[in-house]
Amino acid sequence: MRPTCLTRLTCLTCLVLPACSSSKPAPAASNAPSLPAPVAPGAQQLWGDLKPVVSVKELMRDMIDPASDFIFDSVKVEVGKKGTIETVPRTDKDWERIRIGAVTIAEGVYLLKIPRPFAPPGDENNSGGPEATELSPAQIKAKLEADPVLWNAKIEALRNVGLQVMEIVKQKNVKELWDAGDNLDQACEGCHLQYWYPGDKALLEKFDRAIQERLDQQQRGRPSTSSGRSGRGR
Amino acid sequence: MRTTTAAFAAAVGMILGTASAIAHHSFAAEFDANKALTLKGIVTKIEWMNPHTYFYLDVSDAGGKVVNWGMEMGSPNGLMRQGWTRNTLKVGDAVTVEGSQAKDGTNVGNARVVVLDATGQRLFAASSQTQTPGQQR
Repeated sequence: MRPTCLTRLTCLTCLVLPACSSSKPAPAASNAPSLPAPVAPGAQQLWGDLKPVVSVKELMRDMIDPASDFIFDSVKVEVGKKGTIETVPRTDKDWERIRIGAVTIAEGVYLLKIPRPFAPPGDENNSGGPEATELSPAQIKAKLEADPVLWNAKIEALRNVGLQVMEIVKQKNVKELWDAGDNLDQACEGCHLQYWYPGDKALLEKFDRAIQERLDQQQRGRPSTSSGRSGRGR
Repeated sequence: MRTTTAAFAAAVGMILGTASAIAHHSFAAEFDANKALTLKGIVTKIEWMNPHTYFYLDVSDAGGKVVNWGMEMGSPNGLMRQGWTRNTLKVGDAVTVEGSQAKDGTNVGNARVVVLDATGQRLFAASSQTQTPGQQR
């Protein structure tokens, strides 16, 4: 006998509700459909081997970064002498382009879970010299291996933005695109400041302090000692 | 003047074209912290967009030659968190900008502080790499 819709609903409710409300396992219903055995975390089966083709740096430049631009470039406000020009997605094609960016990010960022070189052979990033702010590929690798949880958290953060934008596209919510663009920026920068150019922070703090001192001196009416190129407005 | 404008358009197009192709970059890769830049000029255009907001200003040198500069700032929401609104900076405003120049020597810079000359209001324009220290004045 085929179960009625009500019977199916009752069975599903029995199975799902305890799982949501309690950590105690519920006794299995005698007529419950057989479910596949739960897969332990980390034991997920793939359909085949994953073999990287390019380095992390190339993957970001050639895949993730262009996909991000589909989202970043979708909203823009230009204020000029002739007025304001607002760029927003208007057509299905516009939204499709944003979706392509979102899906590429959500799926593509998982390719960063495949061990691969961090840069092409011979590329050491801007990691040498007194003012270098970037980590070398070897330094990035050591950092990741010391704390792979952090690496995966950064990946999930970016994936979440991709998923968020996919939802925004479904709703065609222009306003949310602005915040999603900011979330995307934060996810990118949050990872880059850990693994790519962590030295930027100290460099900019030093630079900002010098500006602050210069402005404070000017405000107090004393001449600035810092050198700087200057021009005069018309 | 036309030559200057055309040359600037080409330079900015090249730089911003690059910025568009590679949305994220380190400050040190694009800008020279040793090339401190102080510009006084008149705002000609503002572009609110992610991941960087840009504004442009006409700057005249001691000889009266006018050059249009493009300045990179933080993201729109990042600027909002620093106290900016969409009306903070307007076309025609006289401003003083503190920042650093692009390493390639073009008329493009990274703005760190923008001072509105009319009121003396100091605004921080940091990119998302850091939260600019200090308070708005």
